[in-house]
Amino acid sequence: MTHLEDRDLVALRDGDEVEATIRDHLEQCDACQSALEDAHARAASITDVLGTLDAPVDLEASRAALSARMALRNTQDVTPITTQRSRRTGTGSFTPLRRAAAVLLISAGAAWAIPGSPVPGWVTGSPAVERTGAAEATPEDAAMAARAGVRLPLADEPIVVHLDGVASGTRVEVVRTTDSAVTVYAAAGSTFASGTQDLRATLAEGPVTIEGPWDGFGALTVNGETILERTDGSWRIVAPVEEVADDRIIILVGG
Amino acid sequence: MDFDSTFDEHYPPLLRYCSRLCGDRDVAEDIAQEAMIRLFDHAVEGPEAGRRAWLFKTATHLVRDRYRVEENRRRLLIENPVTPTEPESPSRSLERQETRNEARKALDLLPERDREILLMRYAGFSYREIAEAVDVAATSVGTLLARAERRFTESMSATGRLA
Repeated sequence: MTHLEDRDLVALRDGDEVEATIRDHLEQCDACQSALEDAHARAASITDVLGTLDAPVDLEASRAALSARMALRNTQDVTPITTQRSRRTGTGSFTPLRRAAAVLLISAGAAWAIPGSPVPGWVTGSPAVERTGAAEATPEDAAMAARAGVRLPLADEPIVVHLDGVASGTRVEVVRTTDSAVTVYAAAGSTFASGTQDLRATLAEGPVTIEGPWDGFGALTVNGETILERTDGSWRIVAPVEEVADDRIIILVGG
Repeated sequence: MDFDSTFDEHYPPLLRYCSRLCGDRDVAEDIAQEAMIRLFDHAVEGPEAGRRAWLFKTATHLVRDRYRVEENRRRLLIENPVTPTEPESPSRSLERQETRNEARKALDLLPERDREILLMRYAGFSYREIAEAVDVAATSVGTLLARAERRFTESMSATGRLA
């Protein structure tokens, strides 16, 4: 008597289509019925073992990171900084962005760029400030692959900061509040250090994403220049504001 | 296509699949997000099952691309061991860690296609969806899956971590 093959047993077990002759055989064959039970038991064991590979997922952090990546992608598609600055200066003598300046894209939902938002004092620099810099972002800048990262314990309501056009050696420091968390994603080759209330990174060239809860950032500095600081429960953007949209504020860093 | 509802439905199983497939959580997250971005970019419409299959197929190919060089994948596994974050007793944690390591090794021993088939099956896909995702004939999935299961369980059994 020819018994069912493994492929038939797994197909029966998994509810896939099988020929009627296979079902007929199964009904009459104790050995194959036993083999099918073994196949079910094996599937249960494999399910348990594979489950050990699953780490807990911080879905809200993932949601924010994905949302921010999509926002960054959309922004890079239209290169708003380059376009606006080109019109404003009317010259072609730009220093490559990655060497002279960086663009800070903040994306945390529409609510915080409007009156009554958590950023009541968001403009403290001059929106019309002139600086050299701002060349078109390259495809390499847009690539988010091969990132390294540091993750500290996370809380809710993340704020996401993107640094685009970051030159190699750029230093970022995030002062965080107690029990809060900040995550820095940067290109491979970046180095990180953290203290009880700060996170420091020396960045390799490439895009950078910094994530953390609203109350997670005490301050953010880039190359020693304070970009954001939190005072009296609200945020203050210290660097010059380049553009304000419903869902993001773009400011210039460095120079 | 609504972002939040699409994310809630598809991202958790997609990330779990990518993590199991490539063994590196950060890379898995990067790939899962890239697949989601492509889903929105391409405005993939149709029934949810079709979108889910499209997402997993895209992610499978992204993982293949990422790990085309096998040595690179092994290096990442060494540099980025997966560690649990949930509170566990020390003995339970150790046991779980050892099982995880052995499972990872057993998966690594499988040929790439067998590994993909096994993990897609245990992510709940039909044989037809698996066939489309990994580019094999639907009639071959049962054979390949049975072989992958046998190899995987033999590896795990040799360590005493699977009966």
